[in-house]
Amino acid sequence: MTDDRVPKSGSAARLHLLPLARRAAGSLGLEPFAARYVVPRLPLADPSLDVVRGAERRLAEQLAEIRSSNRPIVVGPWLAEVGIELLYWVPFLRALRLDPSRVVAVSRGGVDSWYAGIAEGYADVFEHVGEDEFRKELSHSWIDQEGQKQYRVGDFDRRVLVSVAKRNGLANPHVLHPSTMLMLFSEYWRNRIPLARVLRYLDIAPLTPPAVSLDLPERYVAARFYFRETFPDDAANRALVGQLLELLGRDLPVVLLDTGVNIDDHEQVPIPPEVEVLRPLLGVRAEENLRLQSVVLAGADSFAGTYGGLCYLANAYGVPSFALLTPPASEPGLRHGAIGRRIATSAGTHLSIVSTTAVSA
Amino acid sequence: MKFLVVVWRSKYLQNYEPVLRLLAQRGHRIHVTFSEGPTRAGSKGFSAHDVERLAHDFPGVITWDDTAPGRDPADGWLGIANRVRAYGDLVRYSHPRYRNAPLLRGRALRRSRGSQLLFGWSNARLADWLRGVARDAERAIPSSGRIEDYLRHHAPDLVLVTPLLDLGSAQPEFLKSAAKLAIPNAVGVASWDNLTNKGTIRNDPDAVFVWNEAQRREADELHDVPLERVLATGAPKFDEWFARRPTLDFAAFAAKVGLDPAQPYVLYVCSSYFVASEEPAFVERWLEALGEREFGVLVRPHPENAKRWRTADLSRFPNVVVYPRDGAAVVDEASRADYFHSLLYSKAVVGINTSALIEAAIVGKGVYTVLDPQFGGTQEGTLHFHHLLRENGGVLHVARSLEEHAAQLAAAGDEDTRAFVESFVRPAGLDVEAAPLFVDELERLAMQPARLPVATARSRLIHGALAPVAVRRRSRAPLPPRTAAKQAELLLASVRRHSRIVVGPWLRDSVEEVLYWLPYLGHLREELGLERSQLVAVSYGGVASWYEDLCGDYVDLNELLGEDTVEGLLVSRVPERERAEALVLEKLGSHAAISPSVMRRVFAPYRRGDAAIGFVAEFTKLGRIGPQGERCGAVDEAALLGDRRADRAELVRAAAGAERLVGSAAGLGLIGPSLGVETVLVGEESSEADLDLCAWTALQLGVPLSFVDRSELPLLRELAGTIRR
Repeated sequence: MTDDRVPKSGSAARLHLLPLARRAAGSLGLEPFAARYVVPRLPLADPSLDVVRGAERRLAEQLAEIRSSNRPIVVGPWLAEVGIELLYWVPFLRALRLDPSRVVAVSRGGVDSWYAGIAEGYADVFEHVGEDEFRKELSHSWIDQEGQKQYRVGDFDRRVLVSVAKRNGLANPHVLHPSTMLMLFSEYWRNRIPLARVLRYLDIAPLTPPAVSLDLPERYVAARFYFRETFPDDAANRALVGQLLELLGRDLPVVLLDTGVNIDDHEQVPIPPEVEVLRPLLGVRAEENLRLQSVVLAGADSFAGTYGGLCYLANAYGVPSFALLTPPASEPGLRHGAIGRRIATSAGTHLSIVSTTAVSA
Repeated sequence: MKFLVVVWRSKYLQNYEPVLRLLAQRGHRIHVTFSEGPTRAGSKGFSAHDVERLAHDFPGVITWDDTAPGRDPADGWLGIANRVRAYGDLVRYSHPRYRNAPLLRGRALRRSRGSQLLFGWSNARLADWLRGVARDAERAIPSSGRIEDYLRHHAPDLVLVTPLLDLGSAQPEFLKSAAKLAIPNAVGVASWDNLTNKGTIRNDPDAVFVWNEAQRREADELHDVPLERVLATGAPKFDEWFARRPTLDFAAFAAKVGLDPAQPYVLYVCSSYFVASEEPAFVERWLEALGEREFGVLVRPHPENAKRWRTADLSRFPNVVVYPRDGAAVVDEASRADYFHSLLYSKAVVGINTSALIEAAIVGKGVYTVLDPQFGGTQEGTLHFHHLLRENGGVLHVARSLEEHAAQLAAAGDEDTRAFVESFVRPAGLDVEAAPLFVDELERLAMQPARLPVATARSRLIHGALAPVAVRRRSRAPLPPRTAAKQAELLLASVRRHSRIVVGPWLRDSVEEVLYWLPYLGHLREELGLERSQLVAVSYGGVASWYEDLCGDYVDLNELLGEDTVEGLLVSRVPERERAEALVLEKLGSHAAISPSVMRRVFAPYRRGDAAIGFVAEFTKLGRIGPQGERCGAVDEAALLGDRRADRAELVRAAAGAERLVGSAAGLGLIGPSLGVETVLVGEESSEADLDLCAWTALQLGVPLSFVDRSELPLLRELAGTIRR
């Protein structure tokens, strides 16, 4: 499931008297007067700004509290999509410039290297819960919070935070939960505030690959295709993936990122048996699956896959991405694209997002 | 340490690239912010691409944004600050030392919209007094809260502002706010002419970085910066010329550029537009005056003034080459090597008035000029030119006539230019690089306490006089975007009474017409209850079908004004276009019109990044534009006529019949979704607002849109050729 839902802003139904007022002014020939002297005084301000200002105020208060003490800071737990984590959460934390020696990042899949320079400590959710339990808890959370995004601190989030604090001996830590950031940016995803307002809170920079070596070809194309709302399971898409991999495999070996770890709603696209691919990550443990995918991506000549978080991850390592998407895209997806372009530019590479209809004959 | 570098446009960053690299190598963090957005990639000069290359070399260490804040118009001081700065820069030109600089005075007058009367007195004491008043007026302007927030967010240890000195520049805001927050701050004087032919320094920065002792004196005498705060480090941007070695021999270089390797050559280095706007004509005259030569000539266009060279024809002169014809900024290894070889292998270097003459001196070349009446105002009429003259310790061979100049060139050869180079570019010694000295000073300054803002009795008095004006202006601050758009709608409502309302005339590009203008008209029609039969569309190039759903009638400007006139207007400046619009309305005898300028004002906040797509959605009505018949085949933008052409019939025809449009993300590709054509945008640096609106339009209209890098096009085509869906 693609989670592009964002909470509704509070007072959406502001004053809508204008059409009425205009008709009245029009019938009296007072339109120019009304335009000059009445309209500027009408409360037409965008209610979205109230939401953002509220979120900004809460963030400022939280930061003031964090900076006024020497207690450890837990950032997370990040339990949602890779894409939002890379596009927003990591750049957001980087922009806050917290003292890394005080920060423990909590995420999943062994992504400590993504937080380099942000957090000197890292705790993996899979050190605290098993793969099956994680999947079960996550699906409960999604129902509970009506989507993947952690707009509030759910029961599972609390459980993870308590466990992390206990195991790492963190006494009374500050917690910077993803909800703080998600509320700050929610109006951007709803097309209500401009990009510039979001960019104030992001420090976009390339990532450094994890220091892990894998037995991989010297040069290769990395690939991962899975079905999702914007790449549905149908015969055409299955054929397209097979054909693309076959084309890519003519020049360089294709290394699939498939791990066999099943913690989200992404079903792998079956690869036709006649297409030669390497699957070095099959059977890796959940707590290192994203770390190892990062290693494969960072070493690739290019990446091809379903449009999603891994395209941005490849870009963050300076690797060009070729992503497939079946239209229509989603509105928040468009907003993510603007940040995605900046990640690619910051790493000196590019992201191609190709509609599956563009490659139909 | 963390350094914030505030740059007006990215081209100025080129001068400080060695400094930034060295800061990063020493373990400091640097954030660069541009006041006016980086120069576009592909344009001449240090572009966004080059900035990105720099950041890429130091990931996470050098970062940048193009969203440097300006003063909030709502605080009431913006207009006052602009006037104070424009007049502040103008008054310096009332000094008698600028009596022989009519072009400099004229430029300052145009920028400030000031009065020529100011120059009538031309009294040194009065000019100095006025400069003092301008300085106190700058002090009287309070620091901007918006910029303070930005500085707090980045929390730098030092703020470096460059070039600061552009006429009427708003960059003093950063120095002012940094001083208020007790952050050490400094000015980087970008080039040798900046202190004499642009604006003045009216803040009290902790340091001003200049190249040499002559500039130190200028900073003191012309800008009232105490000498102890003016640091002469040399010119970091020239460091590379001292260390560089050739990678090609003379014969290989001559062959590369197309010169006869059997003859030596003279390098003619072109000047900026301000100095020499009509340089190709002069060069022709110069070549004629040289007559029969025993040397070739390599003409090197100025990167920012190369347009005129595209069509210049010097083929009648033997062994003369214009290279690179499109101009090339010296920003990467290839362009640097090219430029270095051009200088190194030349017999002598000739120019009107350009920093290339200094670079030539660095590589030991004799530098020559001829005083030509065509450039009177920009040679001897500028103060910095005099630094190059021999009587002032310079190296320039000056001829008073072309004949004298030709004789000088015939005898030209390499020269000992070291004394000048040392005094002008490397004051600490010929072997001492400027960048490390610059960085040492930055590190020292960042450790020192900042100078706090100073208020004088006069600045308090001026503040007292201006504050009530600011309060009044605050109440007249620009309306929020939605309110302004609603107001514009209401002001237009009175056109309803007319039976014939002109919409247009449209005299801009197709992208803006399709993305903004037509959807806005759709919205207005619905919102104001206008009948289709009331509206007469006026556009150009046969786009009647685009207006068919909205307007009952269509008038084509090509028929009304002639195709050549329209073509000229499409690339003309705003006033000419406005005059043409008035003329069209007069010709059509219309008393009611909906002008595109209203739409441009409504969407300006979105296009400059101050409003979201949701705002555009509120004031547009989308629908597929033009006929939606059966479609077949793909159309490549290359097959269409480019934008800004008066004849768009081919574009309209192709877009109406194509199944797919492959086009530039910075050009005609953006109109595909609005026309209902599946579109493949080929990535190029483009307006983020236009690109986002195009993607949003595609989503709303259900038109598939792809965005691909040019390098992926072959894969895309191969894939399309193999798939049968």
